[in-house]
Amino acid sequence: MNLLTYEWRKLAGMPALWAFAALCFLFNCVLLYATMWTCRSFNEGSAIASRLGQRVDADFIAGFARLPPAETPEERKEQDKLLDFLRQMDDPLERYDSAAIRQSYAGFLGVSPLPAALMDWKLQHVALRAEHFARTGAAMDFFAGPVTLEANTVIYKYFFKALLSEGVVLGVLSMLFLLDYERNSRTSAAVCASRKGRKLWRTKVLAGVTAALALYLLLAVLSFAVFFALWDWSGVWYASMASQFNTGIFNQSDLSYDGYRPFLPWADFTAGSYLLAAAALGAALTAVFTLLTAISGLLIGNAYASALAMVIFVAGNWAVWYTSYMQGCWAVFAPLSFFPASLWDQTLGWFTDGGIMYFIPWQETFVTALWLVLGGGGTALALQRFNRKDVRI
Amino acid sequence: MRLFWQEMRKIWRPGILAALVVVGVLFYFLRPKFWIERISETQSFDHSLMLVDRYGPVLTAGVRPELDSMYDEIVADFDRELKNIPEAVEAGITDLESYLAAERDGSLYEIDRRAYTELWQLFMTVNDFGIITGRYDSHIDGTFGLRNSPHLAGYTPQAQARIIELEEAEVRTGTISFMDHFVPEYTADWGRYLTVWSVLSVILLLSPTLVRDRLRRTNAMQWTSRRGRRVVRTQTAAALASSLLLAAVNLALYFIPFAQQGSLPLWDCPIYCGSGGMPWFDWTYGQFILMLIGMHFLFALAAGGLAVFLSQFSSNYVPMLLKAVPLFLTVGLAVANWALSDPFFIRKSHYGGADNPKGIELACALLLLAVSLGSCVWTCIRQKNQELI
Repeated sequence: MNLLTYEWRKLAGMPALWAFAALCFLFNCVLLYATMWTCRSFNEGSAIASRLGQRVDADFIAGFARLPPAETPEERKEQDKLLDFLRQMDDPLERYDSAAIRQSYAGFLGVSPLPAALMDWKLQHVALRAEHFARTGAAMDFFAGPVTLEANTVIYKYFFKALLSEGVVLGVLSMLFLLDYERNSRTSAAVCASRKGRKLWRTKVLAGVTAALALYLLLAVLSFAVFFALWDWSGVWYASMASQFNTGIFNQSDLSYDGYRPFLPWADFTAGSYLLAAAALGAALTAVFTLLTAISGLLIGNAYASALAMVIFVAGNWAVWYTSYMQGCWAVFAPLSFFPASLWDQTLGWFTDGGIMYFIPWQETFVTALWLVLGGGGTALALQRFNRKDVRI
Repeated sequence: MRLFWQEMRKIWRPGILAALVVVGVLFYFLRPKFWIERISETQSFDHSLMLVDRYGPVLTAGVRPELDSMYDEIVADFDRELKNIPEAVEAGITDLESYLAAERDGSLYEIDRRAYTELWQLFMTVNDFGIITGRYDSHIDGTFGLRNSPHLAGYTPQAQARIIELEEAEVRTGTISFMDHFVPEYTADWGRYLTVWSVLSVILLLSPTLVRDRLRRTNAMQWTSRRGRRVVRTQTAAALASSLLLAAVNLALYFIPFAQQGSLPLWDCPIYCGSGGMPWFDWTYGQFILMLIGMHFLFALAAGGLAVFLSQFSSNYVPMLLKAVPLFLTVGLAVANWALSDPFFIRKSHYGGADNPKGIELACALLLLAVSLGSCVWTCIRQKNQELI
């Protein structure tokens, strides 16, 4: 435990780390400030849900109709439009027909049999989820009203992705710092000749991963503290993520289901539980990148070169994945979607069917778990190799 | 001078260069390639090149009547080509009038997909030429324009004066540029991505420079040499020279695909095209390209100077990277990216705020450069009083 503490102290004694973390926090605050327009609308919707409940039924509609009219003519017009929508609202998941989607994707992926088969299997499970949500009536939840989709896009596609990226960068650089510390301080020979010897690098890896998780957690807690100070979630904690307001249905010209894609999570996530699950997966993904950095750092032995190698690995993976998607090269796209860089890109679609981006149920969870195992195993092998190598001074 | 070249060799490390090549290729195929290739895919691009070659960079009142007969020839070609598409003939589309009628009543979209694509491409040849003549006619008769629109009030007085000046000059002289407004727009995208890449590559190349010396404890040897503490001046000069050299290499590499788009014959066309953006300056397309290149070098040099300055305060690669990341995000992704999005054109700031003042982009680049070079000078002065740690 002592050695672990000493490793953490080395990291904590780096002023640049705290300055960077502070900059990340400031950036997150600026990002939240830039979303104030959406935040205001979200808070109004949340206040309505607090007052009337989440489920849109006759009582809800009657209560909504009795709400005081909005102040400006434009807002009154929007209020009337919403009331009309609520009066006509039904559950689109009762009409969910997976056949059209399966046919469409089969057409896309037809040239690649394995991805097409996996996608079809996944869509069969999606249909079962749609049936389940149709039974529970989850799509009838109000959430925060028409602004829900935009709000969730802001939260998960921008704010949470920024937080995840910052956590990953902090984790990667923390690990590199610890692994390269003895070489930079010219204490490698002394340390390797000590009783602990090269086993210290195991401690370093453990210290790096725990520090990465701690920094991610710290940044997440501080950033979400500001987030919740601005965004009123009191009315939406228990709103179902499968609510139809979490799709583009409100802004369509008619209420036809065909034009929108439902948000179908693999579990009965509420807004609160979904946020917690995303945060937990973000932590796991941070650990994945940190372990991959450990492998890179142990094999290469130079912090800067290892950082460049990580940049090439991650950027290369993401670039080829994205390009294969744009070119429709599914035989390349499908396997690359099982790499961690593609998960980072799809923060808005975690724990859902993910459209064409995911090929199996719970893919993001499976990929993260897989890469935790691969990262851990790879780190163990890299440590074994390190144990057999001469000391580099 | 020998010390200068030794420092240059220390900066230009094969491993880092190899990594830059890989990252550079990835970056190019991800974003810049798409936008660079759009330059030659803009509406009326091919017609613009032909007209510039024949009549010069601007369409004048004297030339305008000749375009009508050219248009008639293009329509006649269109009618002739239609006969080679059996599905079109079957659907009763035998000339331009019947094509437009089919488009209006929707029967055009019932045709076989392959035939429709062929028809559409043929039609675009006619349409794109019509855009040039239509643009001229709608601007020169004096009724069209932002100066007659209530939207003008949303601009600052300075921007309003410039907009009115541009539109009235068009009417007064009876000339407009042959170039489509998308050409300078996508060219600006080329300049923007080139600059972002140059900033990133310069930061990656220069970040480890002075850190390496500190890690290897070579300062004592350097400071006790004949050159003494003045060695940092040579190191800084080498770093700045490397920034410019790397920026030049990036420019050369990015210029190849850009030149392949074939927009350089539009060099003398005014960048004000009668539609699209309103430029602050009366530049030609060629002058605009040169200004983009100039801005690119300014940002690359500023990034290099700041990278060297920050590496002074880093005892290790990781603290340097922790400074390099925000440096790239600020200089590359924030300032340079913003400055080179529609640069030197009148544009509203985000959220309907005031326009960006005339020349603000250049002012930002020069300010950044001043801060960067000032930091380097301060570093050299500071070095004299430093203790050897």
